[in-house]
Amino acid sequence: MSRNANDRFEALYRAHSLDVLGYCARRTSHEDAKDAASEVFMVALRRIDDVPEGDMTLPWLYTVAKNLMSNRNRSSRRRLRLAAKVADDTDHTVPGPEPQVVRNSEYERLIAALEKLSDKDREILRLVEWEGLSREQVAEMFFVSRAAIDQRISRAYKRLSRTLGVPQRETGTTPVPMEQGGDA
Amino acid sequence: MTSIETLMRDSNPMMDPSTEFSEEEIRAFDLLVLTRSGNVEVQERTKPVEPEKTHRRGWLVAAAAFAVVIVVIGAAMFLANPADDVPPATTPPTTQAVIPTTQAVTPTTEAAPTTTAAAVQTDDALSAEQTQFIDDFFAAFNSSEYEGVAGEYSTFLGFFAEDAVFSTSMLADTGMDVYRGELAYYRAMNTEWSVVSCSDEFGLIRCQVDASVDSISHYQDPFRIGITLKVEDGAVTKLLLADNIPVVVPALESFHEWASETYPGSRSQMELGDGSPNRSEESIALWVKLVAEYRATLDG
Repeated sequence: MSRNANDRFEALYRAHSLDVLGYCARRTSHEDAKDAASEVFMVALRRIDDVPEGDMTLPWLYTVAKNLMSNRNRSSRRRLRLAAKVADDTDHTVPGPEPQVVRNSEYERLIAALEKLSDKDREILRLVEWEGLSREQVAEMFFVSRAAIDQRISRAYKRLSRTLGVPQRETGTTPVPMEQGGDA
Repeated sequence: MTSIETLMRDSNPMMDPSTEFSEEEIRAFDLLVLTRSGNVEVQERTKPVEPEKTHRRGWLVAAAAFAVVIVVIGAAMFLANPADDVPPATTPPTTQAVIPTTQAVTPTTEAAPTTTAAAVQTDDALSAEQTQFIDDFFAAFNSSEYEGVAGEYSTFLGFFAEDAVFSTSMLADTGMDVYRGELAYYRAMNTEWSVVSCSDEFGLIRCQVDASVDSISHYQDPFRIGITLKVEDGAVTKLLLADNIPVVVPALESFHEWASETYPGSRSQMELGDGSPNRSEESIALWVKLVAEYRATLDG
């Protein structure tokens, strides 16, 4: 590896190791997060010349992390389904990683509601609200326009708001939760 | 009452990784990366030794030293109290440290191919064919010869599939008809794109482009934008243009100030309520006229 590439990787690691670690930890256990995050940096190391600079560095790393973790989750679900089959367990649903780390029931309800969103809407919300990416960065990540991201976030919040009966900031109105007969 | 937005933000399972991971965990993570990245370099170190390389990776060496200390201490404790069912180690502790390093790389190498094709590509440089395609694509844009049917590569729209999807800062996944209005706007602004670099990432061609726009170029150098293309069967099926809004919008203000002074009320005809350009025929004609006059004023 060239000196320049070596230096770039070192700078990349110093600047973003905790961000990537945090991203992974928000989606899995601490132990798995370390392993997944280290894999992200191995991909970055191998492709250091392709890692974009500036505002797109972190979204690039998150995209790699997202891909690695979805693959792991798929494998993990396959293994668990297989184990369940062997044990003749009819409940094959596998809980997501988030419930392991939620802090109270209110958040637990939110996490449950998040799970009902589409994968894409859920990830977009988490990237903006948990990872702190700008909507432009997320638009670039998902190869869509900023306006499309705005629409998705707005739609996702409306749905969460209705599901939980919690008002949206913009409207300030309290919707009726769906389980109490609110709009679907 | 807490809003759903606030609740979402507060539900972040890890607000600050630097405080929520213990020092030991972070150190363990550093070591994991060290061992894996170190292994990548081991192959290069079979070449003649380059002493200065050690200095360049001082942080890794420091972590490596820490790892060796841990292993030595661990080995000493192990040798002092060997487990009944485990035979004593027969290799030096430093060798033990290397073994997991080598093993650790294996899943990394295997994990990559199972992600999307994009994440595992080791060489994202464009092929000669892609490079030619991109060169022609931007040349066609800069020639302002926009109209053309699919496959007519001398024209800009000839590069696109008929059902191509266009997304820009102001357009959300629209079709070619709507994008024509955007092109007319670019033409009115005498926009030119100059490619800085392109790469084939995640199955898409991502380009960094310097945009030069007549109405604002007197105030600054070309500004950087991102253009991403999805190319299938020789035609662009999707275009995403990430504008440099923080640069473009303030720069355009100078033009609008001039236009408002010279032609009061012009802005309301040239822009829609959300600040995006009005792409109607009349509005585009006004853009063309005013940009030309503005340019002449500045040149004069």
